[in-house]
Amino acid sequence: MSGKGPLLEVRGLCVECDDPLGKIIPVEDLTFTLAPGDIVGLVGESGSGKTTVLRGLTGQLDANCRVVGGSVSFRGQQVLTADASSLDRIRGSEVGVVFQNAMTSLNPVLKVKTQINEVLRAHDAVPRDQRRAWMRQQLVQLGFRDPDRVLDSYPHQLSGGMAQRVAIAVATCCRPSIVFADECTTALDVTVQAEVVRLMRDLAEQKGTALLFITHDLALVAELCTRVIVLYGGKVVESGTIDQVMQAPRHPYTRALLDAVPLFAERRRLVGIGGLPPVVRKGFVGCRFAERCELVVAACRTEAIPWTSIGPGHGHLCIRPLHAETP
Amino acid sequence: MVETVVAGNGDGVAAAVPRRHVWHRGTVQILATGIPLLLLAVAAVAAPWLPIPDAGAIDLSSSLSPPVWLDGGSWDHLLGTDQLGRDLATRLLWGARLTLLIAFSSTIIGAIVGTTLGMLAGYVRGWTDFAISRFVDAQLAIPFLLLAITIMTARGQSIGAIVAVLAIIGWAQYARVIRAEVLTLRSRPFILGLRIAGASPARIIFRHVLPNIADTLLVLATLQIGYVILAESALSFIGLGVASPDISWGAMLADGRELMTSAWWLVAFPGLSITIVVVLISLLGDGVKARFDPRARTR
Repeated sequence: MSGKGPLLEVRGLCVECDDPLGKIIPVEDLTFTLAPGDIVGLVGESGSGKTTVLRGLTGQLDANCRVVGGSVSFRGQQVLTADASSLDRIRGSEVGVVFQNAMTSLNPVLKVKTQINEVLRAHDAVPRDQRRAWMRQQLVQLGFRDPDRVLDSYPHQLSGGMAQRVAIAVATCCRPSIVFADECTTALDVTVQAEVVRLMRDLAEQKGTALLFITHDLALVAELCTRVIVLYGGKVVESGTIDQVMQAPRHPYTRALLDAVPLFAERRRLVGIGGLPPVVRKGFVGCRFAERCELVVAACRTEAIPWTSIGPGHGHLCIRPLHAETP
Repeated sequence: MVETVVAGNGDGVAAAVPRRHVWHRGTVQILATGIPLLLLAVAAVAAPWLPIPDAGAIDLSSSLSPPVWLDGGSWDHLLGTDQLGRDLATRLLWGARLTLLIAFSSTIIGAIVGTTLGMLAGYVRGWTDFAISRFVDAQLAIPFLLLAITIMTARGQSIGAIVAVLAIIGWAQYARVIRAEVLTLRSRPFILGLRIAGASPARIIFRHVLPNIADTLLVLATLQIGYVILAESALSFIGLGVASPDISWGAMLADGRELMTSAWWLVAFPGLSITIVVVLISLLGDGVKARFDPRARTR
């Protein structure tokens, strides 16, 4: 593993989708980097383009969508223009994905051992005769006490939390350097969620795996991540370290998201955000959050909003930022 | 007694009560339907060596004798004879050979071709899907008898040609149903995960998609087998199918129809045989599904 430099570097990624009513731009100008051991939270509500980002990065966009701009490089190698064979090498062995619903991310008719074996086989990661031992060891690391029984089970014989840990085992069994976790704790109850979060952190801290944690749960991001990217309407509206963003959110949308997190200590009414994220079409001008923003001014709707950089990886997309006085 | 039940959790007591082996419902059904089918198949294959009358032996003196339990019936001809005095039971057994051979081979060929194309269309989408789907539409638009007449005229009337006609009629059904199944499967996260993990399309289709559609395929195939047996009968009925001296149940039905009012057994027994076999195969497929589908299995 090359220690220096980012693992994954995304610059100005744009995705465009065909739609009967014209072109939709679900992701525009997305820029971020992932270094080994990084845990980055990609936050946004439903429809803000989080999953499209994941699909765009892994080359699995739907047929009516395509990447129209920007670059993605993995260890300095361009991914979007790479040929199939080098892509196959990166996928699986270098990238693992954990999905929201473990029950649907595992094949219902194959035993757990077969499914993990599929990934090992595809990448020749472990010699055939050592695979069983390797799989047992993986499951023990993920907190299973009886790995043999789990290996010989079908997904429906596992509980939701067990299935999610198995899904993590499938995603990480080849020791990928990057793991994309798409809402991977959303469907779990809180105790299991805490367990999965702990496993994720262990992965990053002990194995140096870079994690892109896609979620709408800001409390979870605060707990787990080192940096956070806030996505709204397909565009990054704010990014920075956890402290920077949580302590002094600049963008009104981040503020609103933070207000929508239930806090046990303060018993207050939850503040929702009225309305829905916009469907952004070609030729959209102005701030995407303008329709729902309390601080909106005329310029928000008519002018192109520039990215304001405060420091490396820290900035926002707002012409009337909050906390402007704090550095 | 109450104590025993309550103490089930305690060590020792639970172990002392021997667990009765309970048969899986599917296993029972497989055995109940599979054994008769197997016996029939074995008997049909072994027909030439069994101590039964010759299927083609003409005995005009005992022409149209009724089954043994009716007036005029004799133990020489258990199920009676046809107008040439040939033994009906023997002919049924011989008929099973061709009937089952044709039904199974054409169903299997149709299933393989149809499933492969259906999975391809559903998984690859795009132009492949368009081409295969239009081909299926075209296939389904051609009347069965027209197709049969064309092929029989072009290739000559043979067992191979009958199998081919029946397979061609069947495949489109599989392609259409399987395509729809795969369309919903391919958007499932586990397939996406496999694609990201770099598994090849062929590997995904055959290793991961196929087991997921196996239950649909099985049900479809058992329905199709019944349909194919009937279609073969229809072909034989209009003289395009199995022709004398070969025997199939469909051909026997066709031969017996003119005498239906005077010698009902000539159509009743072949008809009954077809019905029983079709029902047994359906139930067998059902049992196999209940027994081996992991999703239907209880803990």
